[in-house]
Amino acid sequence: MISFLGRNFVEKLITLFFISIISFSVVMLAPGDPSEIDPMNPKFTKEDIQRLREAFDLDKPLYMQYYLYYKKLFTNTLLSYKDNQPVLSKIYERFLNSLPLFIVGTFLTWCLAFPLGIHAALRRQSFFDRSTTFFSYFFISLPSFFLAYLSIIFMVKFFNVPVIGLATFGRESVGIWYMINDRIWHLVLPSMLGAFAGIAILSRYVRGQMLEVIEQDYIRTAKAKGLPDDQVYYKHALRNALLPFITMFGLVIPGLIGGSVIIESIFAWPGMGRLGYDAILARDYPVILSLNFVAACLVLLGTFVSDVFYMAADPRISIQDK
Amino acid sequence: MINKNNPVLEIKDLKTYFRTTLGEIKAVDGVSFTVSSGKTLGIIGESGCGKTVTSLSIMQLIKSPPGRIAGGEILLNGKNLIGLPERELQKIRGNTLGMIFQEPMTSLNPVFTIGDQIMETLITHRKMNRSEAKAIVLELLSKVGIPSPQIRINEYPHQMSGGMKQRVMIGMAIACNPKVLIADEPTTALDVTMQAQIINLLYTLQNEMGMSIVLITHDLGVIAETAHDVAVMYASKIVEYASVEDLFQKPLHPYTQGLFESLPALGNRDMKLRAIHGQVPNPLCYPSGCKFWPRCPHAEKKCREKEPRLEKISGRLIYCWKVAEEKSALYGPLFCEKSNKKDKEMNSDSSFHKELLQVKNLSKFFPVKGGFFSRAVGFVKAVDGISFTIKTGQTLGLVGESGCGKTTVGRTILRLMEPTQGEVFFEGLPIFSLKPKLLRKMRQRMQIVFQDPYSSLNPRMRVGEIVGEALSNHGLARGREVRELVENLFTKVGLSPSYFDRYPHEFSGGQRQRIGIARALALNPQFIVCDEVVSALDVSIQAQILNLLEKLQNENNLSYLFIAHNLAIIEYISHAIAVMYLGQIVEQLPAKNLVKNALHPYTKALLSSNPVHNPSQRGRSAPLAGDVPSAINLPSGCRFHPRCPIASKICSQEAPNLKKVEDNHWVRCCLVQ
Amino acid sequence: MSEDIEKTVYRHDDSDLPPHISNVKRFWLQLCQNPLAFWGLILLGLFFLTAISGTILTHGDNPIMDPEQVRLVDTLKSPLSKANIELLTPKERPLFDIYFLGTDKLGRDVLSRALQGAHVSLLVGFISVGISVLLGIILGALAGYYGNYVDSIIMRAVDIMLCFPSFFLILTIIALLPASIWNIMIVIGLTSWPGIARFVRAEFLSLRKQDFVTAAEALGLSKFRIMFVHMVPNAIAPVLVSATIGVASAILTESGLSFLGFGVPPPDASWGNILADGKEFIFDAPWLFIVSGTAILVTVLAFNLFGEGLRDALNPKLREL
Repeated sequence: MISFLGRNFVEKLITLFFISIISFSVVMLAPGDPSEIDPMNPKFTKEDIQRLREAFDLDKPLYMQYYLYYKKLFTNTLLSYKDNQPVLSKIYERFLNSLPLFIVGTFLTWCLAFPLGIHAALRRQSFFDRSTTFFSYFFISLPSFFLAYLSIIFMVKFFNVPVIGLATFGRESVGIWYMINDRIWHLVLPSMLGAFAGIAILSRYVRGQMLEVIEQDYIRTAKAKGLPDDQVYYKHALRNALLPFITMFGLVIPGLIGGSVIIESIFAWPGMGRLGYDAILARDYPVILSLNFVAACLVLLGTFVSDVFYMAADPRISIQDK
Repeated sequence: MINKNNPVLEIKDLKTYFRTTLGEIKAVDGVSFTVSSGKTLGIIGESGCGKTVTSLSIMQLIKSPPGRIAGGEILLNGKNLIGLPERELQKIRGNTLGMIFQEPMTSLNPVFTIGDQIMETLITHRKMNRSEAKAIVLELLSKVGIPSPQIRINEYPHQMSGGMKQRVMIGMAIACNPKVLIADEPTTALDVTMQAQIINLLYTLQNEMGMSIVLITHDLGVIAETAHDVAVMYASKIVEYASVEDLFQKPLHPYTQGLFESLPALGNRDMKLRAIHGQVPNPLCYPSGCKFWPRCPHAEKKCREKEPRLEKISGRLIYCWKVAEEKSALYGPLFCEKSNKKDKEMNSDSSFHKELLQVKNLSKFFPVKGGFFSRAVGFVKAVDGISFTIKTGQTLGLVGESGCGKTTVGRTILRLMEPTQGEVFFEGLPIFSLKPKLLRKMRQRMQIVFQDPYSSLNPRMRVGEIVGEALSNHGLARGREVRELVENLFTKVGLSPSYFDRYPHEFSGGQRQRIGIARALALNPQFIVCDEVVSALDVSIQAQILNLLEKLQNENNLSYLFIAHNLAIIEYISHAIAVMYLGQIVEQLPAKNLVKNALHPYTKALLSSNPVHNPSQRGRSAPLAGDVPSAINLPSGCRFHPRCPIASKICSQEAPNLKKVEDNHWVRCCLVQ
Repeated sequence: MSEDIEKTVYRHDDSDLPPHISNVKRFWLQLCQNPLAFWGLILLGLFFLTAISGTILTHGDNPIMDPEQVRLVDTLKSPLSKANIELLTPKERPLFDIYFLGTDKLGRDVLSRALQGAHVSLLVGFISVGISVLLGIILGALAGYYGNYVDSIIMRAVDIMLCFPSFFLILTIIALLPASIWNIMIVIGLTSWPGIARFVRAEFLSLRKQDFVTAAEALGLSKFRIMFVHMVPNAIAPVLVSATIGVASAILTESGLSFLGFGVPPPDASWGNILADGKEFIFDAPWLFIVSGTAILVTVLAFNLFGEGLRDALNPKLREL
């Protein structure tokens, strides 16, 4: 058990090392020397390159560049171009803002996707199954920005509820209940929009997994024992069907930043995605590169945690490796 | 006479159909039988004849859609199960009707302990609380022969061997003292020694508890050892229904006769197998009239036109109007014939046959990884110091239970796996030190045929390409020539040359196996490894393939390494036999001496585990107890001593060597002089 | 006597085989059973027609429908409105003098822009997926066939790729590279191979154990032939499915990038940037927004539905029946 965890941890550390190399070397895509600038490329001017060379020590040998970049990042002395604030603290602040959005979104996704998927699988080919199938595809295919705008119009026009930003501006002194209410309204819509595609995709997976499990021999055994349907499906099948989703938990974390770029920019939500979008618009390279690195680290952490959970949940693994 | 007293379970005219894209399949078409109290009804038939569907129909576990029960009655204690609401059925399943399945490996839920899984039945049907249920489960586990039940009750299925799991399944099925136990191929996935144990267990349980059993199998031996009445199924129908004594004394239906005659029996190696030609028809296009006529040697015009009914003759039921009219079997006594193998036997010991293949001290170890750095912490000694020689035109049979390393031997000799140690000489050339280019050339002379006819042919290639590919690749033929050669090969192995452009999925198992043989023959090899080539096939097809292999050997002077777990088949086809146990050869002897002269206790145990076709010998105890130990933690001393019935103290201390007891006969045992 | 039996045993005739049904027909039957997949296929057909006609109509020096033609007299015209013929030069006049889908804030014809957008989507979808499928198959095949170190290295690379939030990584790279549609395709392709590599590897691991691969080795065939002639065709089914769904997500990604202003550089049109333009006029000219949004939705939906239908039709478990 310890050796399993230890090996997994070491593996993750090695992966982290490579992640750090890759997220740093992305900067190499930019022209390295002012003389290399393509005059047609509006993204880089001579001054830009100069600044880039300074910030990332592009004059030093490669390994020194790498070392200095991460030294600066972790000592919190890597500064943003835009406002000269330390990058790491900026990201942390935005991370805290993104967190509620992410938590509510994930909560909604997992709470809705599982019942939907399981139900659809157990009533295969029924009206319920067909309609959830269609709506899953509908929501998977619906561009989030399109949906976001449609729903903003809808909310503002019909309910007259402001939804842009963290909270409504200029109403800080109107009382605690109003504040909470306002906050919730601002939180629900973006997290729901973020969750829609997730619910659709996850419920498809759950359905597929469940369908596969109920075809297994041990489900036939459970039926042959004369167990009631509920026990067959919700005890014997469900437990097996859910196992793989423990490992999926780690993989939903990229949504924390990647999936939220569009939603956060539309709703002017000051989270990590928005930070990334602003940084890209302002060509704030220290922020962009660090954000990629931090996001990848978060995912890595997520997969580690889910590996541990998986080990705890599946008797086949934990015992073999003890 | 068929037992009809005290019927517990009566099936009347059962029909189960499945809807598919290509039409409706009548998987069970008008089947009727009766199971008497305390008796066993055996249902025997080849794959696809509808026996499993029958059992699932009785349990009402047919998936719908695509399946449905289209008609008939299933009377359990006089109560019709068809049409009962699901809730009522649940009260019956696992309670008065228990069932065990073929695949113990996948039939237990991997995430619950076996104790929980058995308790569930008791809690559901007997409304017990957990501690009451637990006490009964402990009792049950020792009843079905699981050692140290106190510990085992908390284990998960993956921690147990296949035989143990099947015992757990049986324990689960009998937990509520069912009136009827349905056993669907309960021993098929198990080794012979384990099969003997399970058969014995079922026999004892039946005597103790007085339940009725419906036993489904494809193995005549299992039927002889367990059943009181037998229903022979063919193409969704019962073709013969008789008491086991009647049936084994004199099968009447041509199909039943064929089944008996296609089966090699121990000690009868001079008989020639008489295979039923052709194969079980595809259920989508059953022939008109009698379902068996295309394969029947007695078929005439009336058979094609009119479907026979089950008719009663001297206490049994027969689906054949001809037998019914003649009131006796159509072929007289069982068809026996001396094989032409005999003349070859004469000079098998002489120097007439050159040594073709020499294997010296061959070993193959697989590392077991573990620990923090996933280093090898141990080895599975799959093959551990094996030596033998194969002569030109002869067959060496390699026999052993699953996991004894016999398949690894075959693959390592052909260098499809790199060996850990040892040498193989093919006509004096050391195979293991050949450079890739030479090895490629050598591959033309030594080939392999596989067990699984489904995975051994590339599903995306035409069968003609599969067979001809190597010819063009080795530059032996090109273009038009390839096609001609392949068509010749097809004829040689008994396939129509017109099959060239078909895909593998269109063929039946036996036909695919022929294609596999044609592929191996394409390069005109001298030596072929036959790796369990017939074990995935139905009995009637087995005989066809065995006959084909013999014919090819005689025509081309081929040598075979014939790997199998079935001793009767090995004895039939081989000239010499090597018995393997846990990576080592424990006995090697000429095939003709196997039954009379076998000396090693393991060989003897294998011989007596093999089910006999004689109903009067039922109820004998299994010759070997326990499971094959894991190849990682080998027993000290003689590897067989923990299971050996005659083991003494010395066996656990001293590892015996292979001793020569007479010409061509070696034994690895401390106690054999 | 024995010869007789010999003859019957080896007798053969074609009637032993089940009725011959070609793979294509079987596939078609399976597909037609799934109504969603069937409609997906029809929508796909429409999309291809649109994209191809879009390529023909909007390309060249003097296209029949010019998506870049600015008409300051006809800005934000609603769909089906007539062009202001008196004030337009002959070159500026739209096809049939009607703006079928209206015009945008610069008076450009939305229909021709949408057609060009279809062309862009098709290009992005297929080229980026082509890149990722090629990479995924090769790397997955190598990992699954050779195992050991090759496998560890490739799979570690996959793990690493999966750690990065792909949309943001694409944004980052696009922001560093010169703006061009080709860069977008390459970047999407290079970031989306890990999924396919995983599928192919998993298939290869199970194929590796199958006897026909061992048989090919025993026949002395080359490793290259075994991998790419024998194994890849057997591993292709899940790849096809994920490629179809990959096209959908590539189109979605491109439109997302365009929406944020990092996609196809102006003046070229893509559905994403029509939508981005349209969001400012969401109340005055909703058609801009709706036309492009619906186009994306329907196309992506079609690919997804068809992909799912493929999954069912290619599923060997379902095929048995």
